[in-house]
Amino acid sequence: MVDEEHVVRLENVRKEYADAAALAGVSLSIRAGEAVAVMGPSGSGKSTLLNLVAGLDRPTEGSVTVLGERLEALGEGALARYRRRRIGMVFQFFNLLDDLPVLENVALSAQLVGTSKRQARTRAMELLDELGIADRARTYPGALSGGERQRVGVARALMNRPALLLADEPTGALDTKNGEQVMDLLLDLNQIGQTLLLVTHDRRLADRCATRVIELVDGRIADEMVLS
Amino acid sequence: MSAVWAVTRAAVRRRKLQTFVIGLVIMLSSTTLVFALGILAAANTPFDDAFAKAKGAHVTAAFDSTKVSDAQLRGTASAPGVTGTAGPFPTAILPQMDATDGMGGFNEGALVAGRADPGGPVDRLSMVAGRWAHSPDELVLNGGSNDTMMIGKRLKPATPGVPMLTVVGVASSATKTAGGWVLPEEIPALHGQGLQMLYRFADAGSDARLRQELNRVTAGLQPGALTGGESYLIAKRDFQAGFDQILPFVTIFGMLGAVISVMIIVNVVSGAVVSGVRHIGVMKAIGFTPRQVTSVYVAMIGVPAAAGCLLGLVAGNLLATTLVKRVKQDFSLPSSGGISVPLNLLALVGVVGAVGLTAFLPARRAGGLSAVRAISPVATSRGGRGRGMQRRLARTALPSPVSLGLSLPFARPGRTALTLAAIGLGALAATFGLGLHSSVAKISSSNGRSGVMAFMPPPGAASRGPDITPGDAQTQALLRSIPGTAKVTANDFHTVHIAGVSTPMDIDVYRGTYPTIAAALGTGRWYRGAGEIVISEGLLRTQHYKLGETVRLQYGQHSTDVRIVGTLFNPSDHRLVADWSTAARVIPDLSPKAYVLTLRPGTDTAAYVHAAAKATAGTTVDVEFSGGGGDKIVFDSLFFTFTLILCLSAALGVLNTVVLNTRERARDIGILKSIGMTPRQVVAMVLTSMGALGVVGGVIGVPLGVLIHHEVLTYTGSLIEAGMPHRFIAVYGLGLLAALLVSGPLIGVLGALLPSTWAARLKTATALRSE
Repeated sequence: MVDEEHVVRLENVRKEYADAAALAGVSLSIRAGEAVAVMGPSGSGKSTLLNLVAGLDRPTEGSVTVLGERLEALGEGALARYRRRRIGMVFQFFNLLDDLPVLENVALSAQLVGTSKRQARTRAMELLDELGIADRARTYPGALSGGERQRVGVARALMNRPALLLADEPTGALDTKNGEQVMDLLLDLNQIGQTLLLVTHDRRLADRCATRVIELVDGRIADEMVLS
Repeated sequence: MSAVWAVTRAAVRRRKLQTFVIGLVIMLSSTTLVFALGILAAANTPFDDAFAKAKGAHVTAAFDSTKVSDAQLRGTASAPGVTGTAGPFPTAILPQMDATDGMGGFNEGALVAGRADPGGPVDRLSMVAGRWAHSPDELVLNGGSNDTMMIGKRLKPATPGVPMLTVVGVASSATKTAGGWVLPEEIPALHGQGLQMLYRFADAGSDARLRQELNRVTAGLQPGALTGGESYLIAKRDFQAGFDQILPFVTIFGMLGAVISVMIIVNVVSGAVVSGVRHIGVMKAIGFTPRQVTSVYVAMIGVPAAAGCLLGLVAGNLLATTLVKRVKQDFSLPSSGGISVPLNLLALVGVVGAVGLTAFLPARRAGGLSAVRAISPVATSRGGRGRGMQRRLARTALPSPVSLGLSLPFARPGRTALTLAAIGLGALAATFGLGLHSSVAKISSSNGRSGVMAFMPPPGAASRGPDITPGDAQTQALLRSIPGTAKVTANDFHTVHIAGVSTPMDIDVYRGTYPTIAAALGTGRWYRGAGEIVISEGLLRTQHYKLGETVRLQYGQHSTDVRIVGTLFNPSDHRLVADWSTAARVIPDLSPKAYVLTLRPGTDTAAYVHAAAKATAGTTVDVEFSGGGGDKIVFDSLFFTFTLILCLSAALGVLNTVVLNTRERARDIGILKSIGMTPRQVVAMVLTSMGALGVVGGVIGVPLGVLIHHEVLTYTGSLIEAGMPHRFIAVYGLGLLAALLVSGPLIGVLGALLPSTWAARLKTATALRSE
């Protein structure tokens, strides 16, 4: 049954790698329009949690439900379709395709859901324009600065108007100035209703962008704090 | 699909080197495959093509004209099962006919048929040169391009009462239905008493079936009217026999080519997967399904592979067509040809299938890769493979670039194994190819009457103007006076019989021996004087003779007993070689027809023949170089092409490996450069890694090449029923082996040279930033 209020719902999720538990029974819900920041020291399970919500990994126990879909029940193909339509992902190291110019990198997500190439490029161009990097549309990722690459990553994540935007250390590889710009961008997105799940070490990013902060320690939720 | 295509197109465009290597490897593989298949198919298709085009006769039937009429034979055309006929053509057996200039002619027994024109419903003759006969004294010879020099010659019969004939043309018949053709009205003058009918049957699958059909068709004729019938399958088998000797070589080369290609494709594709792990992870993270990822990787290989395959088909066809054309000329087959469409389709499906399958497995692995592992910088670490070896080598006194280079292959054992195998097979191919070249050179030079010969005009031939015919002693003195002559060996040849054997024997008689004929000894020893004889291996086998056995030679009323002391490497079942003193006991009219001229080492053959022409001016002695090397050139070009293709493929495999290693180790190279490694040291490190693999590849490949060469030649000897003398197989001297051992490191270093310079030029700062 679709839970219209909760975009994400994790119930008693365990994730084990070899004999170590990265997540040890985490339950968590995220409502539409929320911006949740997951913080914690290295090895606390932050990235694992994000990968489970992104459908890139499967829980050992428990269930992960996003927008009414139980991810652990989906096959690889269905998970791929879920990633295309329901979520957008922003990575610490950008993960752009080096072989494609910026415009094609961004447009690719829309093409995957069946949008025509022309429409996809038009939409990608609009996004690049909104993010202030339209002049870099024909450039290959290797020639961009870190901040520019991250903006391309955000543009790509937003291409299919995802209900949920996931960001894994989105400012982790950026200098202060570029980090600030990305923070502003995420804040703006949340203010127009975009649901966000951020994983970060950066307290300033959490304070600035998140409406709720969750602290993970050793795979468990150690603290939860709602920000104004 | 457009997203898959967009990513594929970008990957193909941006990875130009990888795309180029894949395309080139596939092109070389396709060339090898089409070439090999073309040669294999040529054992059948040139004959079949020529036969179909000429509406060749399934059966050439001979009749006695005193027992059957033309009308009766025409009546056989309507018998059930007969799909076409030509004739009846009157025939005659010619007496010995010698050209009036003493050069060429017919031995006694050649069949000529009376035909008004070369066309007709069956056995359409293809005019090679000249024209068809217009008047009764004109003759068209059956032959190929080598016989066109006969055109214009007048042939004088050895028997009185037979008219002289003038050769006006050369034509070829797919099944050689006659030795020549004249107009039908000329046959009575040639005392012809035969008739020839050419049949095509609906069922012509076997000799037995054709015999049945012929007997059925001629059943109503008077007994004894049918005097003989020859199946087209005999001509076909003769043609195929010529190919039997090269089939094992072509098969081995074809197999080597296929194996090397598959290994390189596996290496290239799996390398593309490994080096594209992050790429795969990103694709999956943004929503590509495993099937789409697999499709991208298959298409990345498929695009250059398809282009390479098409180019390879063209190149392979060109090579095969050239070779087959030469073979057709050798066999005097009517022209036909064109490119075999089914063969090309087979090669296309074979190559595309092999590439598809080879690409699919690693591509599917790519599709199944965990996106989390792929995009995590920590998770893509390759662990400690090769580090142990690196540590051990670092403790040695070797310079750092060398020790680091030697440890590189251990980092990727799978890729190293594939590269090693490709180098090993390349060294094997070089060993096998060079060995074959040496063997064929030895076989070719031992092929009886080849080299420089002085020919005498046949006894009784018309004199050429004022030229004089010197006697034996004078001729020998004349030939010895030519600068460069080392030895003059008189030669005569006759037809004799061995008591109890119905096949007539061709006996070559030499006054002593000379080096190249001596080299043709298969088993036993060469004759040492009177009463000893050397026979062909084929004769020994068919008659079950043993060395040391005594047989009786017969020539007319004369006979003598001779002992078989050795065999000649020759598949013929009717060839003998004897010393002059032995033959003189049985052949009273022995007289030199030719002289074999052995030249001093280092003498230029062409210059010698030129000098000989001057020295013999004013005499009827003709000094010629009869190379007998046509086959050798064909063989050599075949071996050379295959060897080159395989070595080049192996070097491309190395190049691909170094490119992948460099790409993967860009960061390591950056670190090494940042701590002071010079570009030259980087080159040395990369070349060391591949040179070391090359040494191992050579050590494995060369002995295997020697072994395969031994086995293939032995098998070929049994296939052509002539055995294979040990000295034709034992061609690898220490010098050659040492040179071949270098082929492995050479392939490795040549393949690595270019990418090693790219690695050396890598910008340190960029390399250090790469993840």
